[in-house]
Amino acid sequence: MIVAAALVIAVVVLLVLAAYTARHFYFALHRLFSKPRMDYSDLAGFHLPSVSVLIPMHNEAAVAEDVLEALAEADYPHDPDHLEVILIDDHSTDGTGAILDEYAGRCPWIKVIHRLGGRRGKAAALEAGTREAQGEVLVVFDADYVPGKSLLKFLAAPFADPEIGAVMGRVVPHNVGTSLLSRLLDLERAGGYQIGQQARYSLGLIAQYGGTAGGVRRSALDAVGGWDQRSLTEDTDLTLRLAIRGWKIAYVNRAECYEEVPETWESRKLQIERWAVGHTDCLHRHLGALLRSPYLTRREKWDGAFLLSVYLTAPLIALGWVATAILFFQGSSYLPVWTPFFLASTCCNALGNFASFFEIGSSVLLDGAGRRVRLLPLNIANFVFSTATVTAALGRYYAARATGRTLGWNKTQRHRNGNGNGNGNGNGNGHANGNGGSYANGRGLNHIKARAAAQGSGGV
Amino acid sequence: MFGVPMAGYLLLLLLFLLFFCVSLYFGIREWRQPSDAVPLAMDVDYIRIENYFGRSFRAKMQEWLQEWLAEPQPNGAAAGVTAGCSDAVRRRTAGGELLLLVPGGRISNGEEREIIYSEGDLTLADGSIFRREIYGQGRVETEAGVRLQSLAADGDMVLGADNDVARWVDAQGVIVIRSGTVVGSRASSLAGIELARGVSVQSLYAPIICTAGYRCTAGYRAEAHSGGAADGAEASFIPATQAVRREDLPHEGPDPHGRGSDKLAMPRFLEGVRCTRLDPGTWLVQEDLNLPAGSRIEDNLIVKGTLTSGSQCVFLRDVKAARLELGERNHVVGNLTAEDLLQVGEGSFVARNIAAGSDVRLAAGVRVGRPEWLAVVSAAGEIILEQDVAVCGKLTASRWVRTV
Repeated sequence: MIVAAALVIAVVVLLVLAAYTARHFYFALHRLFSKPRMDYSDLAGFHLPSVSVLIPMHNEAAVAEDVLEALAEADYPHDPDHLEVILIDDHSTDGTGAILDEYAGRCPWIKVIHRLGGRRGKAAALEAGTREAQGEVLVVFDADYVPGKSLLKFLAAPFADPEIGAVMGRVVPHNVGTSLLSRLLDLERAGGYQIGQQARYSLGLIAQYGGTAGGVRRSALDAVGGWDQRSLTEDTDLTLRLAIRGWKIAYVNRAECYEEVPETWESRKLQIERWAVGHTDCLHRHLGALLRSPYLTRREKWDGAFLLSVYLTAPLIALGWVATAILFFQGSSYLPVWTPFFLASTCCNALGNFASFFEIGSSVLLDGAGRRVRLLPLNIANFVFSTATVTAALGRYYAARATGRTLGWNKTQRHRNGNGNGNGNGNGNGHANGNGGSYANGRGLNHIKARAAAQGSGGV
Repeated sequence: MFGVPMAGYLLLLLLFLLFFCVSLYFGIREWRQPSDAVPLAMDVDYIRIENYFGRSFRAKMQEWLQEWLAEPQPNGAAAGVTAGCSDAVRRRTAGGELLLLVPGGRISNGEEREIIYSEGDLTLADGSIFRREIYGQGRVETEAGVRLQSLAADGDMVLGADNDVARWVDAQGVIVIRSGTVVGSRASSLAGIELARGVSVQSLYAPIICTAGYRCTAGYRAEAHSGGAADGAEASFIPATQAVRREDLPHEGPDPHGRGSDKLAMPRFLEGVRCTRLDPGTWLVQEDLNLPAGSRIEDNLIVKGTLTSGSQCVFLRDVKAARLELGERNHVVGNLTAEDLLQVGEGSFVARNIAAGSDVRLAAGVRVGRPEWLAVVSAAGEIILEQDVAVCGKLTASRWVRTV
């Protein structure tokens, strides 16, 4: 009985993973060998809608100045008809508010909203900012992002197409090399954007608005009901609501922006827990509407379901490991018939979703950064860690769901400028960045430029 | 001792461990002794400059010239690098580039492998081949059948018939490109570009780009069509056949919230059509749509099928369709986008940008953009321009911009 159940589970797990594997391979091969779809980059600078940049900040004193200096240098008309920057100080206690007020005093295009009461969290902060915004397009940055000079033009250009409800740019980690984790996440981001997002957009599937370094059409946002404050991943939630209601999301690979990725496993854990719970919550709230939407093709619906279910693969893989262990120790073997199948599944189980590694390798190739691909096998550490973390987080999520509780929001820890500020909701640990080195002593944008110049990468 | 299945398992395990350990070895070595641990190169200072090629080449040339101007001259007077010379002078830069410095005049038949700098007007003789860049401080003209790499001129430029430019041309004056000429990359001008029939260029940028039959470019200067002269300039730029009067158009510039009109009633042209509102200012039509002549569309319009319009239709906001075929003398205030083919009918005017996932065809008499508000025509395929077409701004195609 146990063996039969384990066999069924193993086969189901392998079939699901095989489907994801095929999807990843298809994306990577399409990206490598097909022409990307028109992304409106040629219109950059010629289509200049009025833009409101929203930056929610909770205890961001370490990084606030960098993003504001970068926006001051942005190649977008700094006049009231074209650009306003709305900074939302969300219950900060570390002096962020004073920094923002100082900038607002100097720059007429900056407005500050101090939120001292009410609901915390990014979606609530964005909702407050949106109420003040006058722009036709809302561009959202997290405080640790460092936009390049032309980023706003590249993000604004696709809105010339009236069907585009949101636009997503590419994020590139700038704190690569500070730890093994940041280097692994650099690879993961490259695969996710250079291959996953670009392929989904080129194939006419649902590209994902990622919540930062992206823009939303104001009228589309209003039409789908604004930011959902209940959601832990307001970006995925908005992506789904836009797609279900007939809007398209454009991905612009050329709209690149530096971000800071977690450097410690502890902060990575908080980040991925929030993503897993928020994403899976979106699955429960939107899957039905997604499959019924009259605006989406069958392919979009299928891929949307895959996208929404992606975090469920973690507990599924864990279940698969248990099932295969049971089968092994019970002496069951299908080797003579299923050798290739087992070989593939061994790779899959050992290395995680094997095709996602292929996807990452392809992205590194496209980026012309071949040497860092040697690190790829070590991504098994990230994979095992993520599988365990997501499985535990989803366990807590379903337990909370069963008892009617809601899970809280955790702010991702910042490491820039020697800072390791705390997490939101009072559960932070606020430790200083102990890895020292030159990175901790540098200023954000200038330091990034200096590091790249020192390495001869040019132009940065 | 082991059965066949167990031996098989062991074999698989050993194979797997071998590959796994080898890959881990390289991974661990890269981790402990990083060879590539810097952020991915990204040009955060990048600002698009449409005449970048010409501008950067001029800057490089000025750098070289400054080197030599700083050198003591034998005759004591140095008005220019070729001062006192009636013939060409050859010089080598510090980086080893060989430059041919000429006072101007005509460079006759043959093949040149040097970078050429001319202080005066320059003519390139028919059939000549130039393997490197050319910079003329005056007017530059090429005769028929010339093959060259790149060409920059501070004055006007005329590319003769059947020229083949491998890369770019850039002029501060007007560029005239004669029939049969191909420019492999960008043609840019600060004044205007006039294209004869049978020209192929990959992309163009100028305050005004026109095809044969458009009357404006002879002696055209951008300043005449900008600033305070805008209204008059626009009156002369938009076809006289346009049915739309300025007072009929809505307030210029985007509504802050992207809303068209407040009324939610369905327009007559959408009656009986499978459609819905995406937002108060956007209609989505989920099938083909044929607009009768004289239709006036006040909201954003998205058509999942083919959008065909009759003559003299007016679109006050943005329009998108899978395939878009505008009729004669249409007037579009917003942007036009199509997933596939996009055709703009004779005598039509598009104020903003045009983008298509396939080809774009602009019929005779079409005007795009305005002298004081430049626009882009972008195509993932070809852009085909008929006679008397004028575009203020940029034309860029993945394949070619062709005149027919």
